[in-house]
Amino acid sequence: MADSLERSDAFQQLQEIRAKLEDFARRYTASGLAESWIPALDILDEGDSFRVLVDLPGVKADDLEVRQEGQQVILAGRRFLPDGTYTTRERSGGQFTRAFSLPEKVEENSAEASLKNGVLELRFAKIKS
Amino acid sequence: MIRWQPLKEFEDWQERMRQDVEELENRMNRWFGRAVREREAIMPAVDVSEDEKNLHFEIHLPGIDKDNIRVTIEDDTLSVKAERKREKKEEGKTYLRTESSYGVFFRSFRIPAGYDMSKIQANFKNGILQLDLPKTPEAKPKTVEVKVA
Repeated sequence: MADSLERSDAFQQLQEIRAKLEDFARRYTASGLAESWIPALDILDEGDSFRVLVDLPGVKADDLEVRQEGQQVILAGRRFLPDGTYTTRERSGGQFTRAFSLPEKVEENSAEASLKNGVLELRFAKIKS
Repeated sequence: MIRWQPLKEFEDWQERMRQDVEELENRMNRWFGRAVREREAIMPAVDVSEDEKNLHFEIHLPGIDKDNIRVTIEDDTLSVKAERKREKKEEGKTYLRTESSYGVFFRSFRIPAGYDMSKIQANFKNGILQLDLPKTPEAKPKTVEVKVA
């Protein structure tokens, strides 16, 4: 019967939600306790340059440092969370560092950086061969 | 005289049962419906804090434009929905690494009594959506002087 099929589907959906919630809870508590975190980033190859997008919600430009050493890029900074009586706490505060390598040689000191809507955008010009 | 109809009675019982199940399902849908519908959505990280005046939300929505955020209130439920669009696919543009989440972000909260939903304040800055929900005046703790004789 279509009716009973739908019902079991609803229960399966609930199970999936529960599993998702548990996964989230694990991830957030694990990273939240350590007082350090790792931002997610995307790297795009745009032909003559690389563009890097780093998720840094709540990080101010003054609390952010970008260093370039050849193909290596190092990001470091800090997010300050306001004091208060929390009923839910999932965000991680404190320091972060992140290092990554660009797949090709880039111009030294060519990086252009901008911070918008909590996303750091970096652009590195490739060395023309 | 009414003839006893065991089958009819059974059918009635079955019908009542069916209605009960339907009612239960409706209620379940009202509670979980949103979550089921939005189960493909991404849950943004949230902090909720409280002081003597407000319930304060900080929701991570990096890379999202202010115009793509919708905050809605329905009865006692506060919902936030936002969409983060991936870069348009272009010739000569390839993703070498993608760790960030793209798509629909959704989160909803049941607000306890004692807050004035009509006076909600929203502010989006540095990829964080801040929501302030003030307490209704009578919910503020009263200070009562008690004279000790």
